[in-house]
Amino acid sequence: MPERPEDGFKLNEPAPRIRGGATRKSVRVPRRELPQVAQRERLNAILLAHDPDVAEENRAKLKEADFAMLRQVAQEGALAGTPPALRQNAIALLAERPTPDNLDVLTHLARTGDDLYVRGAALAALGKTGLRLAAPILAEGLAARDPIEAASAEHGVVALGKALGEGGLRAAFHGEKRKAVLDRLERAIQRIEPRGERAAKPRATAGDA
Amino acid sequence: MPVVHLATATPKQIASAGRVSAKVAQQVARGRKARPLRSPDDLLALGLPFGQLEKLRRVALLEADSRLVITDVVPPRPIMSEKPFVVRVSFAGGGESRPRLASARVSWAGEPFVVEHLVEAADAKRGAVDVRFGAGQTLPAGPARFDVDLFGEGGAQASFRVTCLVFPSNPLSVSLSPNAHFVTGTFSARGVRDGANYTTSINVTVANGDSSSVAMTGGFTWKFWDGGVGGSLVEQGTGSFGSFSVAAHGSWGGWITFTSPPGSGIFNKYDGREDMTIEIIMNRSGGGTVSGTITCRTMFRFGLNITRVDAENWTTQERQDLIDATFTTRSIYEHRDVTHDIDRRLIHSADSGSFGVINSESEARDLFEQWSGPGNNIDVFIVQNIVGTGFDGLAGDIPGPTSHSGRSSGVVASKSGFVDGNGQKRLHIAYLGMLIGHEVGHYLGLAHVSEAGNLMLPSSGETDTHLNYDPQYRTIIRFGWMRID
Repeated sequence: MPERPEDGFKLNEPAPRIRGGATRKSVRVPRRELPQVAQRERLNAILLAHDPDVAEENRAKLKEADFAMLRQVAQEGALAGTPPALRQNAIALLAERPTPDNLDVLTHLARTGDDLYVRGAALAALGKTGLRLAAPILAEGLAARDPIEAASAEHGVVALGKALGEGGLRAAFHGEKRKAVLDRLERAIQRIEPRGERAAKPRATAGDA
Repeated sequence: MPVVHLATATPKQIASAGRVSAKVAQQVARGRKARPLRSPDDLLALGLPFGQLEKLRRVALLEADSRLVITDVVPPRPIMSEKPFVVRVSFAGGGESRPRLASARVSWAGEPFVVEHLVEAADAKRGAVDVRFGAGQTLPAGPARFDVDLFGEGGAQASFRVTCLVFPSNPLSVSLSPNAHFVTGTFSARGVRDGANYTTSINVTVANGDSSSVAMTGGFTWKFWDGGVGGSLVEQGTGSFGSFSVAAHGSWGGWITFTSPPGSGIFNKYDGREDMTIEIIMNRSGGGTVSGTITCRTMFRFGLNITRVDAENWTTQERQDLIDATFTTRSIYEHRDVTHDIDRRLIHSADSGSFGVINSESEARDLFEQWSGPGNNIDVFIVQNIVGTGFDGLAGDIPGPTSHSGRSSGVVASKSGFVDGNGQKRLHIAYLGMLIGHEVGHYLGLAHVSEAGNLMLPSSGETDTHLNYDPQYRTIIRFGWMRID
């Protein structure tokens, strides 16, 4: 038994006194009988990445055969009761392989996804594909009434701008007349190349009454 | 949960479940005659106003839909302690859904366990499957939480959480829990330094598993034991709630606060960082007693500045959901005898810049660098969303700095927002509570682990909330901003 370091107080891990003990035997159905359940559980573990390094590692674990199920997860909707991160990370990963099937789903979700977070995730993902055909959909996103959806679209435009360059981005939005869209487009263009601006000193958050 | 099969529902059902106008519901009913509503494309082709289409999308199942929805999880009969029981999972599915497996994870006083059941054709037809818990899976009296997943062919998944009370078979029981609305279960009560004294507060639940009500005198005896019941008695006394009765298959709840001045036996034990066992013995009106116990101890604690970013774009409901999520986080840590205080903070929308929705690690670190809260608390920033990255949280470092300056001084988490079937903006409370706990765990010095069910799994889900004693607890308590009452 390794020696415990000194904590300054007694380490008495409380253990509940339970008739029959504190463990019960799990009864599981072997996954070899349910390969698609096993695949879904594997994908869930890939999708629920909480930290950037894990997200990066998980991308490498995706197989071509996973994308059909990823499309399913992306379209699951809040009805399923699963965490939003599952759907949104599935949406983000679809942009890694912009096949026609994946782009179809992203386009649908960006236009008619069942809530602003799903549409926002799809808009950001479409921008990351770097494809010019995303521009008209992103323009609709920039015009969204909800500020969170519009902000997500702006991230998509920045990503698209990084792929197309400022000139390419302006050309993709040629003909756009709506002021709200043009204002957000200009803001996005400013963010394509970070100017290295930093706040002079840290600012204090306010109390939340 | 509102859900509607668009292929078969009447216009009235469509209007009611989808919260759309009667005119739109009629339009859907007419449209499906001309063209079956197989996919979102078909729904789109109806030319509905966007807002109405959005509402329908949230609750509608279509003909070519393989999605599943769990509509309810309920035991058909009361769950009695130490007896086999059944949990019924009711579900709905789109026209191409094929439910295959129901999996129920049980959180209770002991270690979580799982019971699974294959969904047979008859179950699929009636829209419900019974998950049976046999003699090897019985539960003691008290609360039990069921996290149920339903899996379908093609990878569909639906999830549902419900908490049930397990009634005593004997037939009366007393269970004790820490006195705070955010915690349940059998883990430790907390001795808190309050001025010169220590106070200890506990909840008392009397559960009746009989089919007739039970009258109680309300009087009780309390005992603080060193080394468990029957060990060395530290202090004892009596009190009364006033007489009450517990309904058939029902429960009654009360609370007790003990104040222990310097020099008292309880004070001295707390001050010596020793844990004790509280025993509460209650009296039945017709004679006889029933008792319950709980461990009590002082706890290490730290502080969190929970900061809403882009504050004016949060709804009242979302603010409440965040409060509930942070209580979930606190409960996770209190299970491991570490607690935290919360200072609720905000960054106004006008000042938030692009931090409301962030899309890179660099942007998260800009947020840490540019904003901070007061005191020796960890800054926890809750943003509207993190998009396009594949991750939903980030901690500045492992462990994070004990200062508010630099690009590592904080953690960030996506608020886990969605819009529910009633059109209300909500946060996924259980998931967000876990996510905040996970990122704060990094800041406190915890790295990723591979232990099943652990909070620090690289891809922990809402049921992965366990922290182990050694090394995780021992690591946490060494964090520079940790304090003890």
